[in-house]
Amino acid sequence: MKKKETIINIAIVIVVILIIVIVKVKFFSGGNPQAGYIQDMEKMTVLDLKGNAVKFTSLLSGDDETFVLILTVYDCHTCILKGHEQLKSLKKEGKQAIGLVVSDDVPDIALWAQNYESAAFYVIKKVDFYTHIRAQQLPVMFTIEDKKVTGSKAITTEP
Amino acid sequence: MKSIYITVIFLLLAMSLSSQEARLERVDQWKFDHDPIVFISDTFISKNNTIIGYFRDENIAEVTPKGIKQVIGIGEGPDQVIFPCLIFRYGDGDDIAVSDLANRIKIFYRKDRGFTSKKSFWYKVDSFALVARECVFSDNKFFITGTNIISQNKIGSKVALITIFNEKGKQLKVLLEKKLSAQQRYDLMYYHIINLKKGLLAFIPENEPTVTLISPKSMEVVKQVPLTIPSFYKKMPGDFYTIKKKIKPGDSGAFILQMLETFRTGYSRINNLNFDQNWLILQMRTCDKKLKRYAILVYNADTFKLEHTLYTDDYLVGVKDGKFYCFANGNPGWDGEIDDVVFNIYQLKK
Repeated sequence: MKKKETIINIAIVIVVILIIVIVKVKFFSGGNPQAGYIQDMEKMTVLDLKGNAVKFTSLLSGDDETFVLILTVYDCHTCILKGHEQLKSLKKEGKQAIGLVVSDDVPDIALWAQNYESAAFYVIKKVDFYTHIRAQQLPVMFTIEDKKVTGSKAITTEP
Repeated sequence: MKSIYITVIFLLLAMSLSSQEARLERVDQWKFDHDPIVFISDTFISKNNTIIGYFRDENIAEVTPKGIKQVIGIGEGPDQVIFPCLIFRYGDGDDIAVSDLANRIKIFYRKDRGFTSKKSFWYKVDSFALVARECVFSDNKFFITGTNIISQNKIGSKVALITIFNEKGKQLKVLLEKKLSAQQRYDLMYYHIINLKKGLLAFIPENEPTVTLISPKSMEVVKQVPLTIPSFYKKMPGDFYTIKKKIKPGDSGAFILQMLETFRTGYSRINNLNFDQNWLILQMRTCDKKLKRYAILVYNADTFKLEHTLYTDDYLVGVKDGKFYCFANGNPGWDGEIDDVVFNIYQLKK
């Protein structure tokens, strides 16, 4: 009888510890919730605005973080402008910052990008976007360091 | 004495003939077994005498005597549009330009019975955005009407009512600048614009029967002409869209839209502007229970003298070769549910 009680007590302690760990990880981990991730970055290919294939990792900074804005031209206009402003200010700070537009129509994106001359834009084909990138919503700004996503934040109209 | 009698009779006869009002006589009717149409806008008459425009459930459609057929659908495909907000004629034929994003104009070329797109233009607008209302393409330039905020501060804003872009999307000029109060800065007023004659555009706000003539080549205002209007005219207030005055905190967006619609149908709003056979033609609401719902005002396009006032309950969707193409019983978006899908085609009879 006593042995049974001990087992129950141990089980209760284990459950309590598990609950504490889960709550701590879930609510008090201190990190920002991720708005997305990139998988198999090494295999990812993008296109420049002339349609030439470029290895995505070749666009990343070797020794510093790189900021990558991913968007479609159909996203909310204010969010696109906000993302573009962020790219501009990051570039001013000397950071590597690029935009990736999800589209299969490179000439159209080249025309679109004329209105955003101060930032470097590349095109990622839809199939490659769906293969490599998961994002809760677009536009999203990824921070990449050492070929690993270290942060991601959705660009919204919220301040 | 006899000659006096003859003269009086002749004068009376002449007076009776001259006072005979022109009217619309129906010459054709297209009636379809089709789901009710929810809203109609941006319509024009094609070279083949069909109606092309926005019919909400069909998106961009063409109406022929045989029926209503979607010609451009919604989507991200090359021959589709995302969210059409402006539809207008591109060039002299039946090619269409559609503004479907905040700063894109997509061109669709007529191909057999459908349309195909090969190019689009992106024009630059800043975060204030241009509230685009109507557009015409003339002299290789896009003339977009609608409030374009040039600068703003706490007191108010400076806006332009016409913004001109070239085919590369570069802003060339703004026209008709005016100041708005802080409450009015997001002005939703409609501004109509059409190609009047070769080398001349006509611009008219929905609340002001004054036509502004613009040269597309020089991009300058040529002159402004106040139009004669019938006595029923009930002017929309200039601060009509200053919704901040009319809403209370907590009012829903749907309530605000409904309120705007109610207000919009309570005044003699100018619905549309057309040019045909040297006539400048506009349709406005009469707001008079003794009269029919709408009046079509026909002006001489040289003198701007009012030549005819025609009354109808139908909504004018375009004029071509002296024929007035109308949707029977009003615009469903504003005049309530209209179950029958009927297009009436009229001619002016004196």
